[in-house]
Amino acid sequence: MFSPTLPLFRALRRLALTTKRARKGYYKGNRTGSMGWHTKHGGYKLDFSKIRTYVVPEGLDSFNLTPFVAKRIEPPKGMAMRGQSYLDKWKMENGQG
Amino acid sequence: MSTPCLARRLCPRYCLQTAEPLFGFLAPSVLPKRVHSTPCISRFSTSQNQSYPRRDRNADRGVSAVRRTGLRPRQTLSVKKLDLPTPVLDPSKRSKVQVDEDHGLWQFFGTERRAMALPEEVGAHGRAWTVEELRHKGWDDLHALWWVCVKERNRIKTQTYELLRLEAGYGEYEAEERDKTIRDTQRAIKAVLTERWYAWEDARRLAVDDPEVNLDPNEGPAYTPTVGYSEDELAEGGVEDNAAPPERGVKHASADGDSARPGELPRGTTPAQDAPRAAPAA
Repeated sequence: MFSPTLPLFRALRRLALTTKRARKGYYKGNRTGSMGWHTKHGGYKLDFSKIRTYVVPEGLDSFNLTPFVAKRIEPPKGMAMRGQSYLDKWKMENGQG
Repeated sequence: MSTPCLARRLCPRYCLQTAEPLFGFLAPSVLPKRVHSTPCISRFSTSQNQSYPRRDRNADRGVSAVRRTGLRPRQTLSVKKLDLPTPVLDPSKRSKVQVDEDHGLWQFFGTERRAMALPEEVGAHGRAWTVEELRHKGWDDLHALWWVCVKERNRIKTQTYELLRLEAGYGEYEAEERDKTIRDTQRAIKAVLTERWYAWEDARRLAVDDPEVNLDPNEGPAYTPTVGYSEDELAEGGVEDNAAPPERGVKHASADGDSARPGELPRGTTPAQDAPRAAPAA
Protein backbone atom coordinates (compact mmCIF):
# COMPACT_ATOMS: atom_id res chain seq x y z
CA MET A 1 0.00 0.00 0.00
CA PHE A 2 1.27 3.39 -0.91
CA SER A 3 1.90 5.82 1.85
CA PRO A 4 1.10 9.41 1.02
CA THR A 5 3.53 12.20 1.45
CA LEU A 6 3.62 13.94 4.78
CA PRO A 7 1.51 17.04 3.98
CA LEU A 8 -1.05 14.90 2.19
CA PHE A 9 -1.13 12.44 5.04
CA ARG A 10 -1.92 15.25 7.45
CA ALA A 11 -4.88 16.21 5.30
CA LEU A 12 -6.04 12.64 4.88
CA ARG A 13 -6.18 12.12 8.60
CA ARG A 14 -8.98 14.60 8.82
CA LEU A 15 -11.07 12.73 6.28
CA ALA A 16 -13.24 9.73 6.96
CA LEU A 17 -11.62 6.34 6.68
CA THR A 18 -13.02 4.46 3.73
CA THR A 19 -12.64 0.96 2.43
CA LYS A 20 -10.38 2.32 -0.31
CA ARG A 21 -7.82 3.55 2.17
CA ALA A 22 -7.80 0.68 4.63
CA ARG A 23 -6.36 -2.75 4.31
CA LYS A 24 -8.37 -5.86 3.70
CA GLY A 25 -10.85 -6.94 6.25
CA TYR A 26 -12.01 -3.42 6.97
CA TYR A 27 -15.78 -3.26 7.26
CA LYS A 28 -17.24 0.17 7.34
CA GLY A 29 -20.92 -0.61 7.19
CA ASN A 30 -23.69 1.90 7.21
CA ARG A 31 -24.57 1.78 10.91
CA THR A 32 -27.37 -0.67 10.36
CA GLY A 33 -25.66 -3.88 11.35
CA SER A 34 -25.62 -7.12 9.51
CA MET A 35 -28.61 -9.37 8.97
CA GLY A 36 -26.65 -12.50 8.13
CA TRP A 37 -23.47 -13.45 6.38
CA HIS A 38 -22.06 -13.65 2.87
CA THR A 39 -21.53 -17.03 1.31
CA LYS A 40 -18.48 -17.93 -0.71
CA HIS A 41 -20.64 -18.23 -3.81
CA GLY A 42 -21.66 -14.61 -3.64
CA GLY A 43 -25.02 -15.10 -2.01
CA TYR A 44 -26.22 -13.91 1.31
CA LYS A 45 -27.55 -16.06 4.09
CA LEU A 46 -30.13 -14.45 6.33
CA ASP A 47 -29.84 -15.07 10.02
CA PHE A 48 -33.26 -14.60 11.51
CA SER A 49 -31.81 -14.18 14.96
CA LYS A 50 -30.08 -11.06 13.66
CA ILE A 51 -33.09 -9.59 11.89
CA ARG A 52 -34.71 -6.85 13.90
CA THR A 53 -38.18 -7.55 15.13
CA TYR A 54 -40.03 -4.72 16.75
CA VAL A 55 -42.76 -5.85 19.09
CA VAL A 56 -45.33 -3.15 19.49
CA PRO A 57 -47.41 -3.67 22.64
CA GLU A 58 -51.09 -4.27 22.30
CA GLY A 59 -53.45 -1.58 23.36
CA LEU A 60 -51.07 1.20 22.50
CA ASP A 61 -53.92 3.37 21.25
CA SER A 62 -55.69 3.23 24.58
CA PHE A 63 -52.53 3.84 26.56
CA ASN A 64 -52.92 6.99 28.59
CA LEU A 65 -49.41 7.82 29.69
CA THR A 66 -47.37 10.40 27.83
CA PRO A 67 -43.62 10.89 27.76
CA PHE A 68 -44.03 13.87 30.07
CA VAL A 69 -44.97 14.41 33.67
CA ALA A 70 -46.40 17.68 34.91
CA LYS A 71 -43.72 19.92 36.32
CA ARG A 72 -45.66 20.63 39.48
CA ILE A 73 -45.32 17.02 40.57
CA GLU A 74 -42.33 16.59 42.82
CA PRO A 75 -40.20 13.63 41.78
CA PRO A 76 -40.19 11.08 44.61
CA LYS A 77 -37.01 9.78 46.12
CA GLY A 78 -36.04 6.18 46.41
CA MET A 79 -33.35 3.65 45.73
CA ALA A 80 -33.05 0.69 43.49
CA MET A 81 -33.82 -2.79 44.75
CA ARG A 82 -30.76 -4.85 45.58
CA GLY A 83 -30.34 -8.55 45.32
CA GLN A 84 -30.82 -9.26 49.02
CA SER A 85 -34.05 -7.32 49.24
CA TYR A 86 -35.24 -9.02 46.09
CA LEU A 87 -34.61 -12.40 47.63
CA ASP A 88 -36.31 -11.43 50.89
CA LYS A 89 -39.32 -10.17 49.05
CA TRP A 90 -39.50 -13.33 47.03
CA LYS A 91 -39.41 -15.39 50.20
CA MET A 92 -42.10 -13.31 51.82
CA GLU A 93 -44.53 -13.06 48.98
CA ASN A 94 -44.12 -16.12 46.86
CA GLY A 95 -41.35 -18.56 47.55
CA GLN A 96 -42.83 -21.14 45.23
CA GLY A 97 -41.66 -20.88 41.68
CA MET B 1 27.49 9.59 -67.60
CA SER B 2 27.53 6.51 -69.65
CA THR B 3 25.34 4.35 -67.42
CA PRO B 4 21.96 6.05 -68.13
CA CYS B 5 22.67 6.02 -71.79
CA LEU B 6 23.36 2.37 -71.70
CA ALA B 7 20.23 1.71 -69.69
CA ARG B 8 18.20 3.80 -72.11
CA ARG B 9 19.47 1.77 -74.90
CA LEU B 10 18.77 -1.54 -73.15
CA CYS B 11 15.31 -0.77 -71.81
CA PRO B 12 13.55 1.86 -73.85
CA ARG B 13 10.09 1.49 -72.14
CA TYR B 14 11.53 2.23 -68.77
CA CYS B 15 13.23 5.26 -70.11
CA LEU B 16 10.05 6.60 -71.61
CA GLN B 17 8.12 6.29 -68.33
CA THR B 18 10.76 7.93 -66.24
CA ALA B 19 11.46 10.68 -68.67
CA GLU B 20 7.90 12.03 -68.70
CA PRO B 21 7.76 13.57 -65.19
CA LEU B 22 11.22 14.86 -65.71
CA PHE B 23 10.24 16.76 -68.81
CA GLY B 24 6.98 17.82 -67.25
CA PHE B 25 8.73 19.47 -64.41
CA LEU B 26 11.14 21.23 -66.65
CA ALA B 27 8.79 22.18 -69.46
CA PRO B 28 5.05 21.58 -68.94
CA SER B 29 4.24 22.45 -72.50
CA VAL B 30 6.06 19.40 -73.69
CA LEU B 31 3.61 17.13 -71.91
CA PRO B 32 0.83 15.68 -73.95
CA LYS B 33 -2.54 17.06 -72.99
CA ARG B 34 -4.64 14.57 -71.00
CA VAL B 35 -8.08 14.48 -72.42
CA HIS B 36 -10.61 12.03 -70.93
CA SER B 37 -13.82 11.47 -72.75
CA THR B 38 -15.49 9.79 -69.66
CA PRO B 39 -15.19 10.96 -66.00
CA CYS B 40 -12.57 9.14 -64.08
CA ILE B 41 -14.81 7.20 -61.64
CA SER B 42 -14.14 3.74 -60.54
CA ARG B 43 -16.81 1.13 -61.00
CA PHE B 44 -17.19 0.50 -57.24
CA SER B 45 -16.57 3.03 -54.52
CA THR B 46 -17.62 3.22 -50.89
CA SER B 47 -17.06 6.94 -50.62
CA GLN B 48 -19.94 9.27 -51.03
CA ASN B 49 -20.67 11.11 -54.15
CA GLN B 50 -19.10 14.49 -53.80
CA SER B 51 -21.68 16.28 -55.83
CA TYR B 52 -24.30 17.65 -53.40
CA PRO B 53 -27.78 18.48 -54.58
CA ARG B 54 -28.95 21.99 -54.11
CA ARG B 55 -31.55 21.04 -51.42
CA ASP B 56 -31.78 17.97 -49.25
CA ARG B 57 -35.05 16.18 -48.72
CA ASN B 58 -35.43 17.18 -45.09
CA ALA B 59 -38.84 18.80 -44.78
CA ASP B 60 -37.95 20.37 -41.46
CA ARG B 61 -34.82 22.07 -42.75
CA GLY B 62 -34.54 25.48 -41.20
CA VAL B 63 -37.19 24.93 -38.54
CA SER B 64 -35.62 25.79 -35.24
CA ALA B 65 -37.02 26.32 -31.78
CA VAL B 66 -33.93 28.25 -30.78
CA ARG B 67 -34.30 30.78 -33.53
CA ARG B 68 -38.08 30.82 -33.04
CA THR B 69 -38.83 30.19 -36.65
CA GLY B 70 -42.17 28.68 -35.84
CA LEU B 71 -43.72 25.72 -37.52
CA ARG B 72 -43.32 25.20 -41.17
CA PRO B 73 -46.48 25.13 -43.30
CA ARG B 74 -48.63 22.05 -42.85
CA GLN B 75 -46.46 20.80 -39.99
CA THR B 76 -48.34 18.62 -37.46
CA LEU B 77 -47.25 17.96 -33.90
CA SER B 78 -48.07 15.13 -31.52
CA VAL B 79 -49.74 17.56 -29.13
CA LYS B 80 -52.59 19.77 -30.09
CA LYS B 81 -53.20 23.14 -28.65
CA LEU B 82 -56.81 22.34 -27.93
CA ASP B 83 -56.07 19.40 -25.62
CA LEU B 84 -53.76 21.24 -23.27
CA PRO B 85 -55.10 21.45 -19.71
CA THR B 86 -55.64 24.86 -18.32
CA PRO B 87 -54.44 25.63 -14.80
CA VAL B 88 -57.03 26.19 -12.12
CA LEU B 89 -56.03 29.45 -10.55
CA ASP B 90 -58.76 29.45 -7.93
CA PRO B 91 -57.72 27.17 -5.05
CA SER B 92 -61.31 26.57 -4.02
CA LYS B 93 -62.12 24.97 -7.35
CA ARG B 94 -59.26 22.52 -7.31
CA SER B 95 -60.05 18.88 -6.75
CA LYS B 96 -58.86 17.43 -3.47
CA VAL B 97 -56.31 14.65 -3.32
CA GLN B 98 -57.87 11.39 -2.24
CA VAL B 99 -56.06 9.96 0.80
CA ASP B 100 -56.84 7.25 3.27
CA GLU B 101 -58.08 8.80 6.47
CA ASP B 102 -56.98 5.84 8.56
CA HIS B 103 -53.54 5.46 7.08
CA GLY B 104 -50.81 4.51 9.49
CA LEU B 105 -48.55 7.31 8.34
CA TRP B 106 -50.94 9.79 9.93
CA GLN B 107 -49.34 8.81 13.21
CA PHE B 108 -46.37 10.91 12.16
CA PHE B 109 -48.58 13.95 12.60
CA GLY B 110 -50.49 15.26 15.54
CA THR B 111 -54.19 15.03 16.10
CA GLU B 112 -54.78 18.09 13.94
CA ARG B 113 -52.65 16.65 11.14
CA ARG B 114 -50.74 19.80 10.49
CA ALA B 115 -47.32 19.77 8.90
CA MET B 116 -45.93 22.13 11.49
CA ALA B 117 -46.80 23.24 14.97
CA LEU B 118 -46.37 26.54 16.69
CA PRO B 119 -43.27 26.83 18.85
CA GLU B 120 -45.48 27.62 21.83
CA GLU B 121 -47.28 24.32 21.41
CA VAL B 122 -44.08 22.38 20.96
CA GLY B 123 -42.47 24.02 23.95
CA ALA B 124 -45.43 23.38 26.26
CA HIS B 125 -44.52 20.12 27.89
CA GLY B 126 -43.75 18.78 31.32
CA ARG B 127 -40.63 17.24 32.68
CA ALA B 128 -39.33 13.79 31.95
CA TRP B 129 -40.19 10.73 33.97
CA THR B 130 -37.72 9.99 36.71
CA VAL B 131 -36.27 6.59 37.41
CA GLU B 132 -37.97 6.40 40.80
CA GLU B 133 -41.37 6.98 39.26
CA LEU B 134 -40.83 4.31 36.68
CA ARG B 135 -39.64 1.76 39.25
CA HIS B 136 -43.25 1.26 40.25
CA LYS B 137 -44.37 0.51 36.71
CA GLY B 138 -44.82 -2.93 35.30
CA TRP B 139 -43.26 -4.37 32.20
CA ASP B 140 -46.27 -3.69 29.98
CA ASP B 141 -46.45 -0.08 31.05
CA LEU B 142 -42.79 0.49 30.41
CA HIS B 143 -43.05 -1.23 27.06
CA ALA B 144 -45.99 0.89 25.97
CA LEU B 145 -44.41 4.05 27.32
CA TRP B 146 -41.29 3.39 25.28
CA TRP B 147 -43.30 3.22 22.08
CA VAL B 148 -45.25 6.31 23.02
CA CYS B 149 -41.90 8.07 23.28
CA VAL B 150 -40.82 6.74 19.91
CA LYS B 151 -43.96 7.95 18.21
CA GLU B 152 -43.73 11.35 19.80
CA ARG B 153 -40.14 11.70 18.65
CA ASN B 154 -41.20 10.78 15.13
CA ARG B 155 -43.77 13.55 15.22
CA ILE B 156 -41.11 16.03 16.29
CA LYS B 157 -38.80 14.86 13.54
CA THR B 158 -41.54 15.33 10.97
CA GLN B 159 -42.25 18.85 12.10
CA THR B 160 -38.57 19.76 12.26
CA TYR B 161 -38.04 18.47 8.75
CA GLU B 162 -40.78 20.70 7.47
CA LEU B 163 -39.39 23.66 9.41
CA LEU B 164 -35.97 23.20 7.86
CA ARG B 165 -37.37 22.63 4.41
CA LEU B 166 -39.32 25.86 4.47
CA GLU B 167 -36.43 27.66 6.17
CA ALA B 168 -38.81 29.01 8.76
CA GLY B 169 -35.98 30.05 11.02
CA TYR B 170 -37.78 29.34 14.27
CA GLY B 171 -39.06 26.44 16.31
CA GLU B 172 -35.90 24.35 16.23
CA TYR B 173 -34.98 25.12 19.82
CA GLU B 174 -38.39 24.12 21.15
CA ALA B 175 -38.37 20.93 19.12
CA GLU B 176 -34.90 20.04 20.37
CA GLU B 177 -35.89 20.66 23.99
CA ARG B 178 -38.98 18.52 23.64
CA ASP B 179 -36.98 15.77 22.03
CA LYS B 180 -34.38 15.96 24.77
CA THR B 181 -37.05 15.54 27.43
CA ILE B 182 -38.40 12.45 25.73
CA ARG B 183 -34.92 11.04 25.49
CA ASP B 184 -34.55 11.49 29.25
CA THR B 185 -37.71 9.46 29.72
CA GLN B 186 -36.36 6.74 27.49
CA ARG B 187 -33.10 6.77 29.39
CA ALA B 188 -35.03 6.32 32.63
CA ILE B 189 -36.91 3.35 31.19
CA LYS B 190 -33.68 1.64 30.24
CA ALA B 191 -32.20 2.42 33.62
CA VAL B 192 -35.12 0.78 35.39
CA LEU B 193 -34.87 -2.33 33.28
CA THR B 194 -31.15 -2.51 33.94
CA GLU B 195 -31.72 -2.17 37.67
CA ARG B 196 -34.23 -4.97 37.64
CA TRP B 197 -31.99 -7.27 35.78
CA TYR B 198 -29.11 -6.68 38.16
CA ALA B 199 -31.41 -7.14 41.16
CA TRP B 200 -32.60 -10.45 39.76
CA GLU B 201 -29.06 -11.53 38.94
CA ASP B 202 -27.77 -10.65 42.42
CA ALA B 203 -30.71 -12.43 44.03
CA ARG B 204 -30.01 -15.52 42.00
CA ARG B 205 -26.38 -15.54 43.11
CA LEU B 206 -27.43 -15.18 46.72
CA ALA B 207 -29.96 -17.96 46.31
CA VAL B 208 -27.24 -20.35 45.17
CA ASP B 209 -25.58 -20.10 48.58
CA ASP B 210 -28.83 -19.87 50.51
CA PRO B 211 -29.70 -23.16 52.20
CA GLU B 212 -33.37 -22.25 52.27
CA VAL B 213 -33.62 -21.91 48.50
CA ASN B 214 -33.58 -24.77 46.07
CA LEU B 215 -32.96 -23.66 42.49
CA ASP B 216 -33.44 -27.11 40.97
CA PRO B 217 -37.10 -27.51 40.07
CA ASN B 218 -36.84 -31.31 40.13
CA GLU B 219 -35.86 -31.49 43.78
CA GLY B 220 -38.65 -30.51 46.05
CA PRO B 221 -40.00 -27.07 46.84
CA ALA B 222 -38.12 -23.98 45.86
CA TYR B 223 -38.25 -22.40 49.27
CA THR B 224 -38.05 -24.21 52.61
CA PRO B 225 -38.25 -21.81 55.53
CA THR B 226 -35.83 -22.39 58.35
CA VAL B 227 -37.37 -24.13 61.36
CA GLY B 228 -37.79 -21.84 64.31
CA TYR B 229 -39.92 -19.10 62.92
CA SER B 230 -43.59 -18.94 63.67
CA GLU B 231 -46.23 -18.14 61.13
CA ASP B 232 -46.63 -14.68 62.55
CA GLU B 233 -42.98 -13.89 62.15
CA LEU B 234 -43.04 -15.18 58.63
CA ALA B 235 -46.03 -13.02 57.82
CA GLU B 236 -44.30 -9.96 59.26
CA GLY B 237 -41.25 -10.51 57.15
CA GLY B 238 -38.88 -11.36 60.00
CA VAL B 239 -37.16 -14.17 58.20
CA GLU B 240 -33.78 -12.57 58.08
CA ASP B 241 -31.92 -11.72 61.24
CA ASN B 242 -29.39 -9.41 59.74
CA ALA B 243 -30.14 -5.80 59.22
CA ALA B 244 -32.24 -5.17 56.19
CA PRO B 245 -31.23 -2.54 53.68
CA PRO B 246 -33.01 0.74 54.19
CA GLU B 247 -34.86 0.42 50.95
CA ARG B 248 -36.47 -2.85 51.90
CA GLY B 249 -39.43 -1.35 53.61
CA VAL B 250 -40.07 1.06 50.83
CA LYS B 251 -39.99 -1.56 48.17
CA HIS B 252 -42.10 -4.01 50.08
CA ALA B 253 -44.73 -1.46 50.79
CA SER B 254 -44.88 -0.34 47.23
CA ALA B 255 -45.43 -3.75 45.75
CA ASP B 256 -47.88 -5.50 48.01
CA GLY B 257 -50.10 -7.98 46.33
CA ASP B 258 -47.67 -8.76 43.55
CA SER B 259 -45.66 -11.87 43.36
CA ALA B 260 -41.91 -11.94 42.93
CA ARG B 261 -40.37 -14.91 41.27
CA PRO B 262 -36.73 -15.48 40.52
CA GLY B 263 -37.61 -15.96 36.90
CA GLU B 264 -39.63 -12.82 36.67
CA LEU B 265 -39.05 -9.22 37.30
CA PRO B 266 -40.94 -7.76 40.23
CA ARG B 267 -44.16 -6.31 39.05
CA GLY B 268 -45.02 -2.87 40.25
CA THR B 269 -48.35 -1.70 41.43
CA THR B 270 -50.94 -0.24 39.19
CA PRO B 271 -49.97 3.14 37.83
CA ALA B 272 -52.80 4.92 39.56
CA GLN B 273 -51.61 4.07 43.03
CA ASP B 274 -48.00 5.04 43.25
CA ALA B 275 -46.48 6.90 40.40
CA PRO B 276 -48.07 10.13 39.33
CA ARG B 277 -50.06 10.00 36.20
CA ALA B 278 -48.61 11.68 33.19
CA ALA B 279 -50.29 14.97 32.71
CA PRO B 280 -50.93 16.15 29.21
CA ALA B 281 -48.88 19.03 28.02
CA ALA B 282 -50.26 22.09 29.67
